[in-house]
Amino acid sequence: MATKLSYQNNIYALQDGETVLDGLLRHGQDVPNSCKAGACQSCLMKAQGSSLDSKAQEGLKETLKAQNFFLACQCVPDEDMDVSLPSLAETTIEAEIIYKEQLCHNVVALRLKLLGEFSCRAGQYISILRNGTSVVRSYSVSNLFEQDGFLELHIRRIESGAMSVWACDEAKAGDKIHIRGPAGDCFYLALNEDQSFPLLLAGTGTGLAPLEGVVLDALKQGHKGDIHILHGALKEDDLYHVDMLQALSEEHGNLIYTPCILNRGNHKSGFHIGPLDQFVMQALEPLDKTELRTYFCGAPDMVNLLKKKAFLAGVSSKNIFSDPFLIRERKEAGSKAETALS
Amino acid sequence: MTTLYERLGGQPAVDTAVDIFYRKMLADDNVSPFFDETDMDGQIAKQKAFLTMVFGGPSNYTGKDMREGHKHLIEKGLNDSHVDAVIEHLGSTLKELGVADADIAEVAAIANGARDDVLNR
Repeated sequence: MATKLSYQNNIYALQDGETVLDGLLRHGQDVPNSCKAGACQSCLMKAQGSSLDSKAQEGLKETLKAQNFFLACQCVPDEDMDVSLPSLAETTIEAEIIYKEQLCHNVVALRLKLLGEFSCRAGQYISILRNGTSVVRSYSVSNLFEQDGFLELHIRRIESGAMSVWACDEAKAGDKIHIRGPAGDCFYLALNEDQSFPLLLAGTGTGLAPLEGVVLDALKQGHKGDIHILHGALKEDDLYHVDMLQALSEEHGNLIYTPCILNRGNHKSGFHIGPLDQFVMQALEPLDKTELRTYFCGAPDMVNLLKKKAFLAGVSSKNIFSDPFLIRERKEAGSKAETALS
Repeated sequence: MTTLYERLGGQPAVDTAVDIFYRKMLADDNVSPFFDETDMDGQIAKQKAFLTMVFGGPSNYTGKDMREGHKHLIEKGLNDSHVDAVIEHLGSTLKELGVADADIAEVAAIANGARDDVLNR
């Protein structure tokens, strides 16, 4: 059924089956958006007086649901709607960059001090809103917020990326941004106080961020089972935190760290050369598949391949956690892409 | 008198069966290509709905859903042989879980009832 949207004092007609986001974009409206898959929550909007179906509010915090917020990319209205963009004060918290570090040639870490009430689990993701722009992107939390008192994010520089170029080239300590979230279920859970089950975590690129978060949380909570973490990249200089993870693994007998690179080059010993999925399956093979919990993050193709291989090897579907880093396709000016969820 | 769904063990039985069943489907070269472009979490949710239906449980799955959900696969060659394979994997899944032959036959009959919808006939 064709429906109409009321937005910023104008009426916009939606086509059959069209989402609120697609309709507004088609009419030339600048609505923040990123993954278009209901994951990043960049396209958060507020509805006046309409009843919302559960899909349009899936994954939102209860407090946001109760205030009629919804995800424009997941909402196909079956009646006319009056919609608006959320105000910053309603849905975000201000944050200050307190530290920036170059992790490797194309990845930086930003540490953020939150200027408001906030809590999250390491491995979940938050959205960043760059002040003065409509750019919103999501990044995973790589550290223990409650313990450290700040959030750490890993941001990979993507050519022409509206957020990442700013974060890598311009952002500096003292800059203010706004954040929204957290969201996502990629975090450590010590079920039944029995922490002897094995964990296997694997990812590519900045997929390492949520995996580090899960590992740090598991170690802090006294996880007793083996923890395998594998980080994959094309070449050695794409990997980062190698020394940190090696030191952590020497400190904790149950942590096994495997850096993997696809292309043979001038690499230090200790690197595995070959496709990541091959080493993941080697690590997985001897583990107790009925108890094993896996976390896969990073490039979607690799994440989906690892999920399928782990499942076929006998890992229970409820124990496979993942964050495929969805890529934001930029329609304007060529076909550059930016990691929307990283 | 208990329903088939209750006899099989209700929702926990569905949750147990779905991994075994879906693993069999993915491992079968005859049917696995039909799952190539789908994300696993979404597929598992759909298989749960399907298993709930064929167990005779509370199901929102309609014939129309079955038709709409498989139309694009018919263009890729979905036919009777694939429906046969699904029913066979369903049977061997239930056998592994120790379900009685008579119950397996009833599940197979319900699944078979969806054949024309799935194949859009």
